Amino acid sequence: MENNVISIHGLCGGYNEVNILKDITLMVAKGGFTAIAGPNGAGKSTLLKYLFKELETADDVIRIIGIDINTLKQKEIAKLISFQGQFGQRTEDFTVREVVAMGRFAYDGTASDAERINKAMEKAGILHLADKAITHISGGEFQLTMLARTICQDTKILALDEPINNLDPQHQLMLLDMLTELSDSGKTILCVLHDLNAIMRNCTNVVLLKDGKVFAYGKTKDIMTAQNIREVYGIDVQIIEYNGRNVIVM
Amino acid sequence: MKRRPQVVAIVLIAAIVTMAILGICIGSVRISVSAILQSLFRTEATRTISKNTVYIIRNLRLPRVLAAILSGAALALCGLVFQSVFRNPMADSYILGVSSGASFFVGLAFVTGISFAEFSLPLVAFLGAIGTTTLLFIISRRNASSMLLSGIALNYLLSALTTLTIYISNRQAESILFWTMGSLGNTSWSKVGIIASVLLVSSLVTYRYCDAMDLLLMDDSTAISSGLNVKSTRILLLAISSVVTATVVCFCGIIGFVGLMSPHFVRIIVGPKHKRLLPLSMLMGAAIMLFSDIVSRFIIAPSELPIGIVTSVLGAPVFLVLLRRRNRGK
Repeated sequence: MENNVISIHGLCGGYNEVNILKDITLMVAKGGFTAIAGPNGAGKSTLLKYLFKELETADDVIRIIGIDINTLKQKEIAKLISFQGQFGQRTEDFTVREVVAMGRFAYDGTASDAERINKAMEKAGILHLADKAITHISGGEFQLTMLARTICQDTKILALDEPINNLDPQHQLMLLDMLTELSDSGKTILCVLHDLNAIMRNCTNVVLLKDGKVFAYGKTKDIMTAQNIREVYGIDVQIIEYNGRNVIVM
Repeated sequence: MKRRPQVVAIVLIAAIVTMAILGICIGSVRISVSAILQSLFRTEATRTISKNTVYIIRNLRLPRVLAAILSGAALALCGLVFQSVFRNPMADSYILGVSSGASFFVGLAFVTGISFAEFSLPLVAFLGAIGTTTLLFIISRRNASSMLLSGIALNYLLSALTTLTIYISNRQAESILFWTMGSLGNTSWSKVGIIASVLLVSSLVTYRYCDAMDLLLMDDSTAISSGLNVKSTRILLLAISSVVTATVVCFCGIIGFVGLMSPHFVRIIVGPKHKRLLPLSMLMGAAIMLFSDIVSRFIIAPSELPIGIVTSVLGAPVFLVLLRRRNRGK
């Protein structure tokens, strides 16, 4: 039995025969809040899409808790890893509760569903919106709705693609701390983040992607160095200590 | 506040029953409600109603009313499935050319004389419908937003080709014309039986996919990561709706807009959740079809209009309003 909840061996791929990812090899251990960072087009979102088989690759390239993802049915994958995308579609006026309930799809309706759905909404702080239509709430509230949906899917691994980009500072911190809390309770969090200080504040590990390759991967304090950031993003930053915490100043 | 599915169901069922009775009563021979009850529940002609009346009720009007109910429900089911699969509230089998595909193949069969047995036509219509759906699916796979326009283009092409088959075949022209305008006039119990069984099976299967269709309305990543096999679900649902479309087209011809209108009306009332939407849309489809059938028989009595004309005249304005609303929403 492997220790790693996610192991990727030599993943290449992308959309329409264009290789965005070039030979990605990555092991993610159980627990921890891992940031996936890198400039636009580095392949962050693409990488996540392989983890729940929206994009498919050869056998034995991606293993989740030691099982080749290609041998699993979609519903079985959905019980291991949940995903929150960056572009949630809101064409229909489902209620918040109905969208959150979609997180239970893979379980084919179990008795505890209603309770789990309520708990997830409470956790995301949107219980008061439960019966509102998703077309009548703000972008940030919708993002929290999608987060509640991800939480009530109740998986070992949560993959999130820029979950804080529509949120106000208060909700950004709330969401990041919630993810930290989830990782403390044994869940493995993989999260695409652009905010370098959010990474410094909450993430235990960082995967730095550049041009479809893993540029660096390890503990946050080892990876988020001024030199790495310069090489990956092409910007000069200073890392200073403030109140016992490292902060990136641009 | 606006979601009361039970109330909507009761209202629709009441409307369907009322219109069904009305549909049996009116026509060249007026029939009373008591005559209907007598002919349905007594085996022999009683003193008060003639054998002739019993025959009209049992073999002409009743199957016709049932055909209207069943085909309306069937078209609504197809419309709803197309709207979910293509994630577009303006899709239906008529607009996307699937019905035209079926009628073109039927026309082709007439012209070439391949098949004339009553029940080989469903197969031909089915091939036309499924062929069109497949083509549409392939065209819009890479770019879902091009689907509606592709369907409209296909509809033009296939309608033109159907007209061509009418043009070529002088003798069968009327028979083909029947398919392009829709009619419930030639209904028989065997046809009602076939539509009923196809509809029963397909609606039961579709009902099991209600949660899946909810997910199809979200983005692909959300649907897939929730555990839905998007690709195979889409293909299965399209296959079902093609079978249903083909069945209706084959027995009743092309009847437009019922599939588009019914789910949309219901969606405004009870919201987008398919577990409510599917049964209620089917009831709505049945009601609209019954209404259109009565109008088609009534408006230029004693002769009758093709029902496809009535549904299109009622439906096109609704479609235009829909289009406006949708554009404003962006």
